[in-house]
Amino acid sequence: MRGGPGGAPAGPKGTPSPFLAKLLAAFRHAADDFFAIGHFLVIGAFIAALAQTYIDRKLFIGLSAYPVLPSLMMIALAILLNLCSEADAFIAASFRGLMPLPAQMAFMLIGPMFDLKLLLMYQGVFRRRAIAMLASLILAAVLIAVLGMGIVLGGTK
Amino acid sequence: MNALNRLLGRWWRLLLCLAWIWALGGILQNERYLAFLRPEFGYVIGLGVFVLLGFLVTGIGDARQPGFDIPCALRASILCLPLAHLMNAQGVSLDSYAFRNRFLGPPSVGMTAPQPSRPGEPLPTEPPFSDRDATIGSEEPSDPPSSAATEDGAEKIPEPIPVTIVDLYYSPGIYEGKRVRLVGMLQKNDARVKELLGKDMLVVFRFVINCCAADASPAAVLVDGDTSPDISDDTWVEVEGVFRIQQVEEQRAPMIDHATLKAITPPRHPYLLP
Repeated sequence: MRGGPGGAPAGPKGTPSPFLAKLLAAFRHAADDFFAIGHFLVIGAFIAALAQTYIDRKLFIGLSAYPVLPSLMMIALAILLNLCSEADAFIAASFRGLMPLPAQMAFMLIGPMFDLKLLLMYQGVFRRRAIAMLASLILAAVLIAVLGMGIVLGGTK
Repeated sequence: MNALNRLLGRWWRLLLCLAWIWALGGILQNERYLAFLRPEFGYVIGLGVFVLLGFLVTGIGDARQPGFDIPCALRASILCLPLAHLMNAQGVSLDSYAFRNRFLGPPSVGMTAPQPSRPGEPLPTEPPFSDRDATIGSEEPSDPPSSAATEDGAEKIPEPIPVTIVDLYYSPGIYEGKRVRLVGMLQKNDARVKELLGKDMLVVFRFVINCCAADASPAAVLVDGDTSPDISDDTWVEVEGVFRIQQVEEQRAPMIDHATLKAITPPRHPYLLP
């Protein structure tokens, strides 16, 4: 049964049927991804569960009254948590109703582009000046976007 | 050691897939996922089982021989954690602990009452939130029974209208002054309620979820009535009483007055769904 790529079963002439070969290759690729990053998702879910269980929502009522502070706090959280984008969405959902929508958006935008894990990886490829430029651009763009969103939406949560 | 390393490297992914298929299949079959997900999301879990079966099939046919090192062991352990949790968390749903963390005090009712989408159109008659349990919410909410006198002249107590807590939030005008019946979890001696009202009052609550327990928000009513000391926090209760609106500072809090409570078995669907 190892006639083709990804262990696809062989067809009548020893080659796998094209559709089946592609399907099995897709599953194999997905499995590789799952086992490579699935643990980030579990860690993300665990942190989200901790936040849901131990953070009293009353703490956020005062914080969300400030215009920029919630967005800055969520940006810092996204950088520190080092989560993959799937887990970012999971955690952002746990802040629904607690933080203003722009702050949740800041968390979602920053996470996939810039975090501690990526910063370490960038150091293997880019010079420090390039990394500083990249980080500044990402932070500035996200801040401008969420501030604009805050102006349009007001205090929507 | 090398043989063990090769053996683990070859099989750890497949064993993990099997464990996940067993766990997801189990919560799907017993409907235990209803403790943290919308009922419709059962199909997504089914899809997950299908994808894991695909991983299993391709894994069996995979000719690669990866080793099993410490990072692999860590990844496998982390991926096993949710399975350990699923085994321990049988029959658990959000309760008064989550309520205390998420509840911000008595809510103000009627703030988001449904409006006609166009001028002249009638208001929607369906409640905006649903309780999937057949015993509740099965009657027409806009046609409440009124008091009636019996033949001997004594006033007959009207049948209570089955409602959900969120129906009271959305349409307080329909139910104000009427006898209603609702289901929820009991919370006694809530500190914030005592702080606001200056006295202890029972609170009956349920969580409203859009997708899953992560976005659950509590919906609560104050209950003015006596309860048996045997009924403790987190007990599912059926409350009957007269609905009225209590002014708490600047807020209009929903309250069930002259209430009677009785413990019931937990509903099949613990959450209210929009």
